[in-house]
Amino acid sequence: MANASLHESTYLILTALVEAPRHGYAVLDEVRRISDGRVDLRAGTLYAALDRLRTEGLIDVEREEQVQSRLRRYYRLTAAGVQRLAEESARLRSNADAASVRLRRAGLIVEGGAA
Amino acid sequence: MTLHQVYRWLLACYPRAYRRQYEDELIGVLLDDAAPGQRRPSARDVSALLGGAVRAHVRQVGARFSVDTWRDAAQVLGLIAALLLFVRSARVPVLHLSMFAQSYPDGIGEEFALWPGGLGAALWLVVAVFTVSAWGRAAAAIAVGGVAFEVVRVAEAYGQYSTVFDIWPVVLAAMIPLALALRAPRSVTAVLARWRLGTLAAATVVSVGAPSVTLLTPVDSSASPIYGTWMFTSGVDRAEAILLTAGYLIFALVVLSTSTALRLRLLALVVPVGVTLLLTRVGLGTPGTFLERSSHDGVLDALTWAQWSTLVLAPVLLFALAVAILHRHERPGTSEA
Repeated sequence: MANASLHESTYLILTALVEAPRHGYAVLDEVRRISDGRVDLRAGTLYAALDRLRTEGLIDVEREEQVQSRLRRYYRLTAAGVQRLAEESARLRSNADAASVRLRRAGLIVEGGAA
Repeated sequence: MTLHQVYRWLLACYPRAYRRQYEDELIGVLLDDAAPGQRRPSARDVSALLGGAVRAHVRQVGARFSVDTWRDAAQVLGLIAALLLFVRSARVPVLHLSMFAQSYPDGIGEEFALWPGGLGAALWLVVAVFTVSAWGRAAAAIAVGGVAFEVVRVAEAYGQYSTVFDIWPVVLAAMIPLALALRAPRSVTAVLARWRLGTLAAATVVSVGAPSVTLLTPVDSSASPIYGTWMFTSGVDRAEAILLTAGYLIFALVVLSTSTALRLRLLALVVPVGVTLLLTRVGLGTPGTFLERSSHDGVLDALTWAQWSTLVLAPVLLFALAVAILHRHERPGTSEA
């Protein structure tokens, strides 16, 4: 059975972990940066997602650190996480391409914006 | 109270296991994300934390109940509950038919014996047979019809006499479609083994046939009827009482002969029914408490909202408590299934 589509915040969390393992606060920051501030995750929402992604085996903990007496856990994508993110990206790209082609064909948009 | 303390207080809403895993780390992120000089959490953070706590609890409960042992227990409960409700509904129709066979032209002389009385019996028998045949979803769908039948029966009794004395079958019946709708990891035959299924069938036949067997035996008319709450019927003679008790004991022995993990789950699953029985047969009417029932001209008044709330909430809360105690009991690492 095909995987269900990822929620946008989940997709962005996985994307935030592609280049390097990151701790919780760095993930929050990176998600805001990737989405140009459109998605402003709160810590409670982030950790609900991280817990679920760990259970599903899409991410795991790379290492832990104590910084100024605060625990920092670094998360990284697993191979399953990389595959899931790639599949979801392909799906989104395919949908976006299909929408763009139809909008152009209908004359509703021209290159660079709406008609 | 510092921001750190407020966050720790909010995180107390999360399940213990979740807190052990993430509490220090999550508080660190919340403090890193706070504005300089911030003394109180933002509404969005509070909302996200409380929402996260609810999701964590739901996931924890879902994870616990998705364990195969719970699914096995749900299957077995579905079967045994259907058989017990069949026993309860089928006794009178079977007696009616037995009396026809014994040349009583009017049977027991009651029109309702076969219809609608027999309908409930037929529904529960089909549910039991489908459950054994591993058609769980179909059994669950038919069980919904059985639940409706039981609800109508209780609603009629409440409408006429304001009594909820026999509301327990509704609770037991309502659990059947829920239990059977779960995807079972293995068949109920595999869980119980054939000899237990055979024993359950024997217990069912003994319990259903008790009044009919009594009909065929010489009756000591001088003996007074026996009344026992455990028999779930009106006064019966000695032979019927012995047969009924034997049937119920065999049901109980089958449950007691299962593995510890399965047995404990079955006992936890019947807590709502047990609590309802206790409330309706012992608790309701307790003088000097809010459970005391008033009456006018010998007719009971309708239940108060507090009594209805107790009747609905107590079984649910005590079931949750039983499950929590069971999981705590198993935490050290018993793995028998």
